[in-house]
Amino acid sequence: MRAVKILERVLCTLPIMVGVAVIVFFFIRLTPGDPVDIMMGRGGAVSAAEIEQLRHQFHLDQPLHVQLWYFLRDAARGNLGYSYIRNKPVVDLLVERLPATIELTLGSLLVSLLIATPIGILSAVRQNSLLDRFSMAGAFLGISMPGFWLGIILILFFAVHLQWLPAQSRLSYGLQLQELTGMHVLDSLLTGNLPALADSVKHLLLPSITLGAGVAAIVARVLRSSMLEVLRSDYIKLARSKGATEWRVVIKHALRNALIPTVTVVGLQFGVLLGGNMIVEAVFSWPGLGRLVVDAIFNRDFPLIQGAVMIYAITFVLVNLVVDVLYTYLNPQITL
Amino acid sequence: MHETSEQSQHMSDRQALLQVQNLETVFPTRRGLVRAVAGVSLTLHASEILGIVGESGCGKSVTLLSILRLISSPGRIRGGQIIFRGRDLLTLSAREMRHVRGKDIAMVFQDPLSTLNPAFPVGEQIRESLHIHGISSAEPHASPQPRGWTLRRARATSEEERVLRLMSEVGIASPMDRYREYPHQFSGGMQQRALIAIALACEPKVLLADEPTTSLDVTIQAQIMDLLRRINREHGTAVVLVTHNLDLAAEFCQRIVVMYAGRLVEMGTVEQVIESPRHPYTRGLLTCIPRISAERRRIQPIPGAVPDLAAVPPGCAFAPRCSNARPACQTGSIPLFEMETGHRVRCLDGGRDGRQPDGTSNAAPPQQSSE
Amino acid sequence: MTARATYWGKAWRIRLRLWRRGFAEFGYALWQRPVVLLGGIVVLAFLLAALLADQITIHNPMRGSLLLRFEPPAWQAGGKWAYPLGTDDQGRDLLTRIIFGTRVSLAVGLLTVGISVGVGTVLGAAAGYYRGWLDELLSRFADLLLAFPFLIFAIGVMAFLGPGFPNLVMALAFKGWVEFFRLARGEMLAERAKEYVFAARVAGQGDVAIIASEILPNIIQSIFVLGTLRLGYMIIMEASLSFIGLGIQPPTPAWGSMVASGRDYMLRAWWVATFPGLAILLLVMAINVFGEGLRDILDPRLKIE
Repeated sequence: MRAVKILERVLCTLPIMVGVAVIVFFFIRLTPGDPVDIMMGRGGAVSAAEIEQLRHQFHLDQPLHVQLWYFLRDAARGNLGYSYIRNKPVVDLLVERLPATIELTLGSLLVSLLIATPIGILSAVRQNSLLDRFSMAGAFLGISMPGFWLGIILILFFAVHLQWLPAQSRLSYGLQLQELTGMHVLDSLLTGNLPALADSVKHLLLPSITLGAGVAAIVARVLRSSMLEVLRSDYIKLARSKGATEWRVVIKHALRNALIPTVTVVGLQFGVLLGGNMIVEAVFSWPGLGRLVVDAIFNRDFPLIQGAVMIYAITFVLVNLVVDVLYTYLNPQITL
Repeated sequence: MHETSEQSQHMSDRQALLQVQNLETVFPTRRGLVRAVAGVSLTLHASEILGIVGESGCGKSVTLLSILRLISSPGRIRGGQIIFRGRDLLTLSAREMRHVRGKDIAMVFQDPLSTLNPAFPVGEQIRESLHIHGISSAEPHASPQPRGWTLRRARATSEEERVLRLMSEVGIASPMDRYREYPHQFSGGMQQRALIAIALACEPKVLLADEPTTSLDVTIQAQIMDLLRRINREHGTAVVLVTHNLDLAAEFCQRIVVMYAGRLVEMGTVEQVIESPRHPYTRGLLTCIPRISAERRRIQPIPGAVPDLAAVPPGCAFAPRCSNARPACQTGSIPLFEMETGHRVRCLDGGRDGRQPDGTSNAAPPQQSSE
Repeated sequence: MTARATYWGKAWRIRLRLWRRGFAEFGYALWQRPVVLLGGIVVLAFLLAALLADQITIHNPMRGSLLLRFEPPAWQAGGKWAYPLGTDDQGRDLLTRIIFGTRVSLAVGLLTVGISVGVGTVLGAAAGYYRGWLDELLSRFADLLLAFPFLIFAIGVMAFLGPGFPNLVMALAFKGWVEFFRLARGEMLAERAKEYVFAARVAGQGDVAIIASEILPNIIQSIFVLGTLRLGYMIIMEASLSFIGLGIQPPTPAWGSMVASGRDYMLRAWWVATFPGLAILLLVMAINVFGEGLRDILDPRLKIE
């Protein structure tokens, strides 16, 4: 029964995904100039005949809505266009870089939750204590700090000054690693390659902290305020009157309820993670999707940019869907 | 003024189970220090049903919370003793107090929907009481003793069985189906029954009930009160019922304590307090109650309002609203006078013929204040 | 003096008195929160710096002397006080550039938030008031825009539109209005059911008049608070976009692009990238502190995350 409802929810997101594709379709039309030129990245030295042929191939001689139809149809089939700059289908390029980005995103999520959760809980339990004030001040700093600057400062400090951590890439030169999933940390775990594990984690650390800091700040604040509210409620009084230890009251009774609004916020922050992804990858030369897009901007590789934006948006929609479903598990009063 | 020895002598041979002596609980606020409970003393005997009656804000709920030491900061219990089974609860460590809560003294709260945790199934919440105090089915296990995870599963199962029995005892129909349901799926009456089941789980000696029926409608109220009565009868659990409804207390309790502005103003058996109330406030409360009777009587509300607990006037707290007040009423503290065995009143006027514990009587001056 | 004129005169005098008292209370509340006051002062300082940039600086922000490349900050060995924060790779004084960069950041921020608030509020109020197909259409469109993470959308638009000030403002505002739309719409839905609206209708006031004069003043407070909080966010967005080259282009001083260009010289001249970023941090933090303090003062019940 639940599976059916989940499927319903998935189907409901389809119109949004179509809408996303439509908007992305119109992005490329924002650029002044000849569409073929744009597709070719303005670098192609092509003859007039070839231009005509390409124009036909791109359906550019057709009315707009027909072009839209072709675009959507291709997208649904997994064809997101062709990058002439790099001479590969866009999809291939994206898939190639995907694991690195996933690794970074997951790493950042992990770091941010590891920081935010204990801080949020402890700040609420010890409200107005020194810890609380420091944490909230820190959180303030976190939300006001531009991500790219944090990354640069971290590099300056940890990589250049202290020389503890590397400043870029994912793996030190010369280390061998068998690639199974494309995510270095995972792969080194799976193949039992300890030096590679240590190395890849070291490379992952600074970028994850940079990307996760902003999210951690927001999540810590939300968690703290929901915990404060929950700790004031009547069922906490009941739990205490049962003779429960403070630990049980806080972790089992309070946290469980405080997580409900927090999870929603985490889901929304995923968008920040996806966006900031690009910036952080640029700062750390992390070879992922974001870096690909930034390079593509530089190279004027428009089909690639278009495909990447679409992938990011659709990922965001899917993540929010997962969060919605997760929410119904956490909050028994809401059903799918 | 300590009345403990007198009280135990004067009561029947039921032993005193819980003795509150001079309890003082305060809350610092912006307006000043609020003395929510200002020197309250009362005694609860085994299997007795005691009612604490008063209007909102008089400190009756805070008294219950203080007994279980559930006062959250910045409020604190400033003075007094709470003797339970020979120990002063206020001197216990946090760990020892936790053993008392839920197991020896349990509490039922006012609004069941907000008191039950919305995130967990009801059955699990009842089971938690058992789990915390390590109570599972009494049968000893046959050897070999289960260990580790198996032991935990065995305990869980016996706890669940006990929960189901509890649920049917408090009157929740088809407990098997209801076990996994969530609080919002229960009706108001059933939620309150669930709360009672939680409180009852470890067979406490004392059940503190803070306005358990106020948020329920009248028919359900009667059922819940019946349930509490049955529990008192069958398990011998003493019940402290806090309510603003004097009628309810009259019907249900054996002894009644009337509170006003954080103090105890009258106490006695239900007959004594209801049929011959001595304190003007108690009298006022009784005339406030609308009655369906042959004669039509005007409801007389008590004029004035409850004083701000941060700035209670000296002397009798009720004096500003009392039609019998004299200048002496507003100076010094008014002692508790004993009228007859067990019937005490804190009033210079009402305690006219009474005696204080130290023997001095309260002979009234010849002239009376005007009506 | 006609009766009507005296009425209006009196009404305004009363309003003025209420405002004055409101301001006095506000000032007192601010005084009680020194941190917030500090934030407000810092913001004011940046604002003044932006407006008086020409007056308070001595160096040229756009052109420098190649002889003076990479001068370290004044307190370090080899630094000069003429260039308090050092110079960049083209010999331009960093402090001057940072001050001029304030113009860009504040201009983009204020303009973007202004447009977002304006468009979002009007559309939201209309959607909330009239409901029907207008509401459906706008809400669906807003939901669609929300499917894009902010930066992704902005990058997408800017990549195709090309860099530059007006493009940047448009791109940011195009995504930014959605939040205010939702807020205005929500508040409007809540307010329109209330009695004073009904009373105004009965009195014969037209719809637009009702919205403008009756409902809007009640809504404006939460919108204003949200706007203040979003200002910092927009400034960071602008900086991020400028960092990857999609925002304000050099040589116009923009903090983001300054950090980007300074990045290449991190080992040699750490100050070129550090100080512009610090400026962003300070300004945004001051804005956030002030904005949150404002929210606290005006209505602590408003919890906008």
